[in-house]
Amino acid sequence: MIPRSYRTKISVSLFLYILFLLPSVKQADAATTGTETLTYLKSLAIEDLLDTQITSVSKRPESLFSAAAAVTVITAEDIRRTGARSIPDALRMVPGLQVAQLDSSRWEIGARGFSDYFENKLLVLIDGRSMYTPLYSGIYWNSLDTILEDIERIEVIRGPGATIWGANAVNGVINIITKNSAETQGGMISTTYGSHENPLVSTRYGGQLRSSTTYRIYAKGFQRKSFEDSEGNDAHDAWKSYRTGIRMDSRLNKTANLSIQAEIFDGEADFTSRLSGFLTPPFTREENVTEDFHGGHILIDYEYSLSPTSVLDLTFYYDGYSRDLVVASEERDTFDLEFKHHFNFGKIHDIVWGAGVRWSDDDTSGTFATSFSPASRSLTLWNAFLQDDISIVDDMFWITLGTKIEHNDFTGVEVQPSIRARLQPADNHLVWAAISRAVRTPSRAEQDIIVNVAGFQIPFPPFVALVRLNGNPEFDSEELIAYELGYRWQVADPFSIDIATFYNDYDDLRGIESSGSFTEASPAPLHLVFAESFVNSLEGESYGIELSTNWQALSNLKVIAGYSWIDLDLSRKDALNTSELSEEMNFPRHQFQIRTYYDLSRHISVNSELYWVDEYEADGIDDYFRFDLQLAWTPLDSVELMIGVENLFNSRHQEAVVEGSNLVPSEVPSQYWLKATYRF
Amino acid sequence: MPIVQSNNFARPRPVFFMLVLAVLLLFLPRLALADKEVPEYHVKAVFLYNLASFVTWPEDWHRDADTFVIGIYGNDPFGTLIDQTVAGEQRQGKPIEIIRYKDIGELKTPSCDILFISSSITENFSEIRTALRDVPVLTVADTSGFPEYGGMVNLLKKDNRIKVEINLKAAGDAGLFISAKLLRLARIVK
Repeated sequence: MIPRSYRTKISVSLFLYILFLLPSVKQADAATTGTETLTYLKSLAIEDLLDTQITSVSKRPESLFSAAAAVTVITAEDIRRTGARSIPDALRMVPGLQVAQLDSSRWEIGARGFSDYFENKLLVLIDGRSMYTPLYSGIYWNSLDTILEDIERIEVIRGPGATIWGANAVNGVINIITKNSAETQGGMISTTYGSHENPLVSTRYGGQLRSSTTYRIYAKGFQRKSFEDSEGNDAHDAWKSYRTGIRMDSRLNKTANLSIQAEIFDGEADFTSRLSGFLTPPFTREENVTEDFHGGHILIDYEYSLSPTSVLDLTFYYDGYSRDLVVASEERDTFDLEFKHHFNFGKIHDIVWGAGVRWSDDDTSGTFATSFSPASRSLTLWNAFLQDDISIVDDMFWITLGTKIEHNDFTGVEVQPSIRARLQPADNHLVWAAISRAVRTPSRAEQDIIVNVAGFQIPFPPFVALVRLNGNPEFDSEELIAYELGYRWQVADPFSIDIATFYNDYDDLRGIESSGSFTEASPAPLHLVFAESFVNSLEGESYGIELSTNWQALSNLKVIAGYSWIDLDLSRKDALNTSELSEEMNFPRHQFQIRTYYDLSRHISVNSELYWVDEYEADGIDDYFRFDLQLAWTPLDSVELMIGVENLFNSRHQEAVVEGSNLVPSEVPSQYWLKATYRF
Repeated sequence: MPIVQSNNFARPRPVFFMLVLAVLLLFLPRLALADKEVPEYHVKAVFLYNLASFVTWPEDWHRDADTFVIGIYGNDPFGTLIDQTVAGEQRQGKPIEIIRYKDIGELKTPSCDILFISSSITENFSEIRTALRDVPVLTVADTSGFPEYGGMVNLLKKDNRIKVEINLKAAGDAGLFISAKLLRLARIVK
């Protein structure tokens, strides 16, 4: 969108912005922002004081400040103020994540440089429930949803989280945590209506069964209108989704807590499918199709305290879904049991250990374009982990040692150790470093898929040819050794800086290599097949920096800024093969964001978010600005009205392309919406 | 594989839209009642300062002390907020002093009247309890489960407000009397 010469200007202004922030911190000391509020609060009677609405914006939770990892938390406040309507919307706020919207219901999201639609090296969990499909190690973002008001926080760890979380947590973990039902008592109904919301309705009621047991029931439904394609025509990507669920939390006695949740959902999402693997001219077909999905889950979490410093946690869940992907369909049942024990040993050891097993059974049906062989497969995943956080110098220096041992049906035993250290020379300074190994285990697709990629006519002799991509039963895990270094500085009470840097060394990355040719008679006509298959043929390294600042400039103004830069070098392990690699830089090298939360008065707040995303060099996607603005008015405690505009100064832009998919991306339009929320 | 030509989405319904607006307009007259949102630790700091007016200490406790002491143990979540709150204020006729403790040893001979225990170290609470046994120090925290383990006053965040939990027995055992006015606003933990 912006000319190349502007690049330098952006970098310069970014730099100036940071320089500009530093000296001004002194002026906005806590003394000037807090005194008025304190005087006001001191004038209140105790019952009014306890009735004051609070925000936790100005302070990072202690545990977060001292985490030896690149962690960003999206809070309930971030979600509320930005009016995020989907989880991917909220994830844009995380510096260093690449969030690209493909069409109205699909996103490509990755961390630290890999954001392939079919392999994102990212683990996504909701309340501990794994959301990635072992079919292709990706996430179905259009069925990953809940009432956004009921999300307590989204913790995003960039970099390997493998020691605790396990496979696929190679470049990041997104951990979505919903509120305890005790925190969602009473009723809520929220309606959003706008240029593309047609409408979105969330409703929830929370009550109490006994003094120790609370619950909430909820339902959410929406219809979203189609975006447009590059010519301004209907892109045929409407989306509708309905879900309803219940959560119950019970304090059984002084030492035991039980939490149960269950949900069912149903939805469909249109898209334009372009398939090229046909045997008759014109070989390519473009069709408007609909992806159908439905499913549900039940999750039981039991927590038992042996003592205040020793807590056992047992989690079981069942998750089942069925999805018609048009080119194939997937039905999957997953049963998962995890045990975790967190305790202090002596004065210096803080230990977490645990074990778990996951059984996942699928049944697929394919088409000529895409199929799986075998069509059905059961996978069992065993794991055990141990992590010890050792306090070497009291309140100052810690070392965390951990390892996870996992057994999967594709590659057998995988060991994923890590060592982390953190040094806190003063309360407001923290330096951390980590070295860890993580693996991405193969997906079903990489071992079992058959894709007819492209059909074409050979002129001499006149013959039909077909390029076919096959899974490879020998396909092995991709491996990462990550080196990280970070620094957090609470410069003054209202201002903090968080810097994370990394160097990632990858081995056995997925590549596609030719595996011969042969003729095939069935289906007719007789044709020549050029076969390709997945192989662990690539290696590479990436490095980058992620920077974020958090500034409570005034008691009613908060400014959050983030910047990330990443570079990636991929190469073939076979040095003789020098043909070009297409996978490099299919993500933005630089990203910048600045968000402001401003309370104009007690009842009115204005929030804005500006994002700048660099071009996707390899994919020919231009860089773009996105500016979102929200105006919220709270006439009563129980009522909130909100107007939002998204992508304000940019009529339409494409954010990514999808390698190796039949999905034709749409352009992301300007959108506006009106949201009304009533609590009772 | 069914290929559906789907174009059956409902048109926008202006009637529905206006209905929502109309309902909302009904609430307009009550505008003035809304509350201001305040950072969490501002409220907690003021609560801690107010707390002393709702608690009666045993007659002979710290009679000779020159100051009324609010102690903070562990990583201080208040920063300078608590100091600003109590600056120039008095309790029981004495100026209020804030003392920050780093080591459990400093609690063996408690010099404070109220002790706020940071969530960074509530895991060692049993140790703290042993150190404070038989002395009327009012223990306060903002950690879930604190009163269940014998803490006296706990501040929890619920529905964007501070909810107070009080373990009456723990306070009573230490010889502290908490006024009914505060108890009425609190959840009593047994």
